[in-house]
This record gives sequence, structure tokens and C-alpha cells, in this order.
Amino acid sequence: MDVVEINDLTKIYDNRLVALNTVSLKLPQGSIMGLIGPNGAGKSTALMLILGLQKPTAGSVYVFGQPMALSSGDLRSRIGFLPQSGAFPPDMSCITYLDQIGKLFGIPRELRKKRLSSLLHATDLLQASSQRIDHLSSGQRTRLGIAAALINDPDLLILDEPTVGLDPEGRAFTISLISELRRAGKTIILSTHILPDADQVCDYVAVLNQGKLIFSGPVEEMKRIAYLNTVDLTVAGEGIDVAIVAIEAKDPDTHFERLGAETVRVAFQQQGDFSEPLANVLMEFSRCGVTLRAIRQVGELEDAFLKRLAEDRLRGFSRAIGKQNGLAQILQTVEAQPQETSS
Amino acid sequence: MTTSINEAVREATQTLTPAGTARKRSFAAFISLTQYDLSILWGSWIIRFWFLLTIIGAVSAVLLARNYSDQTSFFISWALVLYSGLGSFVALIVSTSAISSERPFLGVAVISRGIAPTPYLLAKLFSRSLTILGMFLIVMVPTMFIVQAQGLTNDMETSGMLLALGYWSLMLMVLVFLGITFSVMFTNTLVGVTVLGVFWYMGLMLLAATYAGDLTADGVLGGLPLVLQGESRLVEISTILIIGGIPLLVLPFVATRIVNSRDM
Repeated sequence: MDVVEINDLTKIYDNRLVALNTVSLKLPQGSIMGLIGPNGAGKSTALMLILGLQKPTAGSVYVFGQPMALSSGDLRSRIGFLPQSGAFPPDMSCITYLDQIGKLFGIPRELRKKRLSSLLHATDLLQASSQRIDHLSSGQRTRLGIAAALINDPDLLILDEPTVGLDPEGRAFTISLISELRRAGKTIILSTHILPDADQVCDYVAVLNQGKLIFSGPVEEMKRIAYLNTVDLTVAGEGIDVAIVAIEAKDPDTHFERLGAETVRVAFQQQGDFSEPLANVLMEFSRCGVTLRAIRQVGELEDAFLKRLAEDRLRGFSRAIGKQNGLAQILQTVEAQPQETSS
Repeated sequence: MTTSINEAVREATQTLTPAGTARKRSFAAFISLTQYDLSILWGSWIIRFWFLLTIIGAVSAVLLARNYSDQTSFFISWALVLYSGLGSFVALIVSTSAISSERPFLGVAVISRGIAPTPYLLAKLFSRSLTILGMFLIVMVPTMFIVQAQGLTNDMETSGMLLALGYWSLMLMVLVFLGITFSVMFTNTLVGVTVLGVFWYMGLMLLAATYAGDLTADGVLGGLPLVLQGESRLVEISTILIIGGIPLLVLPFVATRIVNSRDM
């Protein structure tokens, strides 16, 4: 069953800003979807529409198979939401705030108390439970928000930028919490622009740019689209350029791009197993006195995201100025030979 | 640390069970929102200051009635007129700011927690009406009875006093309901207060001008002393109740419709 189904969702605000443009998505039960995109891409608007807090200009949102609207309080009672801003009453203590949220969900007192202590423990807030919210650190506030989002035992959890502003430990804690929630069978929508976080926990990604959905599918598929058979080599030595020239002369299907003084991106034309051409490259480097320090396969979500975004911008630009000036050809080249853009 | 998190999350999610039926949840949310709003109101310095001021006014009314030979209906009529003038302003601010001041975070902080706008709106109507009426009745009821018992020249009837209290309660309720509706209509509290204030005080002045006999201390009170003396006619009472009752029935629907049609 799809927990969330969005069909041709469009939202145009009163000031004629097109925040979302015919977006369609499906989120299967028990999965984590990363909603990614640059600032102003429409991520928060999409979340507001899924929660029924805003009315779509066109299209529809179904949550748990039922249409979502502002009056759908019942549907929302099965959703946990961590807003980006937090929106906490500053003068309340953590425990009072969580209790208040529990009351809003109509959770009976005994059950509420049990959940409160479990969640304060789970989010490592027991020590700070009686502290005023305005005295908490940003990491503690995020964890409080997560605890509030979990107090109703939601079937669907919506987290808007849960790791923004957190230190590395706080981020790791939050990611670990999200992973554990996935194991507990929760369906999660994670809106973020911190892509390594999405890479760590998401099964699916939906990429938004300027209100348009430019990709939707499994994370692995997204990565595959970006860079096939491409690696980044961290190397040191005087003979880097000499080695590159030598390899390109021998094997024109291997392309190089200098990303920095010590980083070289190598793209192989060969599909599938590219161990042989890679071995040739490493041998040539070794022959030229270049030391290999690290190999990293390109294909991180971040790479894929940036490439998708660049393609989308190029496409938009091409449409905007017409197709007579050759940009359409560039676009076709990009689409047909994705690896060439990296070389 | 991760292991303990994992165990705690597992424990938290395993101890969870569905939390009651939709109607029960909705009612519980209404109660919770009402309690929360009441706690905010009772902590508000505007409310505390006004309450203190009305107590001082009530004590003054009692002292005047005990020491001056004017009729008690004259003193109480003035107390009520002053209450409608100054108290209206407090009621206006308290009600018109009810929702508009929470607007920036209403959706993400309240409505997203399994709440439909209707119980939220009803909670606001209930808590704000309760506070405004409570403050009025807690001070005015004992004041009227003390003045009736201890005034030098009492001409008030208990039935007339209760009727006057009923009229004033109705008026304050209408104002609170109007204020909440304006609070939904105008996202800017100041604009809402100004617009409603202009309409409300123009209405009060027109009403006073219509019923005032002349521009003397007795004249501007119109027929109010007669009401306190128990000399009202049934047709007057029923007309006022109907005119006051209609907004109380209509405004919640209007406000609900507006709040449901807006983005949070």
C-alpha cells in the first residue's frame, strides 16, 4: 500500500509564485523517502500539502488512501511532524511541552506518561526534561521536536530538515534515530538539503527544483543515472599531467578531469566492469612516479543531485531562449552521453 | 549510546497503542486547547490589570451607593455603561488577537498535531468567552447585590438586575464572537482590532444616541435604570435576545468556514 500518493500536485501562492508544479509521487509503506532540493525548491510546500495545512491549487494528495484536507484531523493524528522552525513555546519545559502535544493528540494520561519517559530516554533528553525550551541547545531542540513527532506513534513521520544546525554528534544521533525508526516499520519523509544524510537512510529520493520534480525513484537508481564507471583518484607527485597525457594517447575512451591539485576524476567509457582500464591508469600513474592516496567511486547522492540539477537548469535555459541557438544540441549530448560532461 | 537509543525507540514504539476514537480525540483536543488558552489568558497582564481595575471600580460603586443618596440604579447603570465602553476594548483585544497572533505557527505547531481547525476555533471561542464573561460576572454580580443591599436609596429589583446582567453578558459574547471571526479574517491583529473597534464603538455611540433622553448624567443612560428597576417589557426582552442570539449562532459557522478555506 502507498502511504502517500500525490497526483499532479500544483501550488501557486497568491503572489503568483509557483511553489509546486504538477508533482506526482508515491511512497510505499515502511520506506524512507528523501525529499531533496535546493532552498526554495518547494520541499516545505510539498510537506505542508501532504499534511493538509495548505490547499493545492490543482491535483490531489492521498494519505493512507484517503484524500487529505485541512479538516482531516483524523488523518493527521496518524502523522508525526517535525517542522523546520520547531515553533516551540519558549517558556515551557520539555516535559510540559511533550505532555501538551500528547494531550492535543488525545492520548490518555497513563499512556502519555509512559510514552513521555520512553521518548525522553530515546532522544536523550531525560537530563533536560525540566529545562525551559529556550535554554536548550539546537540539537536538544531538534531531539525534542523528534520526540514530539513520535508521541502519537505515527504511521507516517514527516521530518523537515532534521539535521540542519546540528553538530556532527547530533547529526549522527539523529540519523541513527531515523534508521531505528525505519527498523520499527515507520514510513518516513525526510526533507533535507544535506545529501549525505539522505544517502545514509533513504530508500527513495524525490528531487525538486523550482517546484518541479526532476527525479523520483530508488536512491541507487539516482546514483546510477549520475555517473557510471567514474572514480575520483587522490594522487600526489610531479608526473600527474604526464601520466594523463600518456593514458589518453593510449586509450581515448578514458577521460580525465582535474578537480584539484591532487584530485583527478577518471571516467571510463566501458560499461560494467572497468577494472582493466582502471588498472592501466594506476600502472601508468605508478610508472610516472605518482603516488595513489585514495580512490573514491563517484556516485554519491550529492554528485547525482548536482548533475540532475545542472541538467534541469540547462533544459530550462534552453527552453527559455529557444532551440535555434544550438543549446538543444548540447542538451541532447548531455542526455545521450552523461559521462562526457564530467570529462 | 546508539544501542541505548535503539532500545529506547523500540521500547517507545512497542508500548504504543491507538489512542481512542476520533470523537474522543477531538474532544480531548478541544479540552486541551481550552485549558492551554485559559492558562495563557490568566497569565496575561492585560487581563490581570483589567480585573484589578474592575475590582477598584466595583468597590468605588459600592462606596458611592453607601454614601450618596442617588438611586442605586443610577450608580449601577453608570458602572455598566463604563464597563461596556472600557471593558469592550479589553474584550475586543483579547478576542481579535486570539487566532491572528498564533497564525505564523498555528499550522505547524497546533493543526499538524492531529487537530482539525473546528475544535481549535471552538476552543478559542469557549475560552475567550469564558474569560471575558467570567471577569464581568465575578465582579458585577456581587457588586450589584451589595449595592442593592447597602445602597442608601435602592430602587433595583433582582429580576431587573439579572436581566441587565443578561443583556451585558450577551453583548460581551457577541463582541467576543465578532472578535474571533475578525481574528480569522485578518491575519494582522492590529488591522483586525482597528476595524472591529471602529465598527463596535460607532455602533455603541449610535445606540446611546438613539436611547439617550438628553445630554445629562441621567439622560445618557437612556432606559437602563428602568431595566434595573424591573420595568422591562417582554417584547423588548425577546427582541434584544433575538438580535443578540443571531450572531452567536451565525458567527461560529462563518469563522469555521473562513478558517477552513485558508492556508495554514
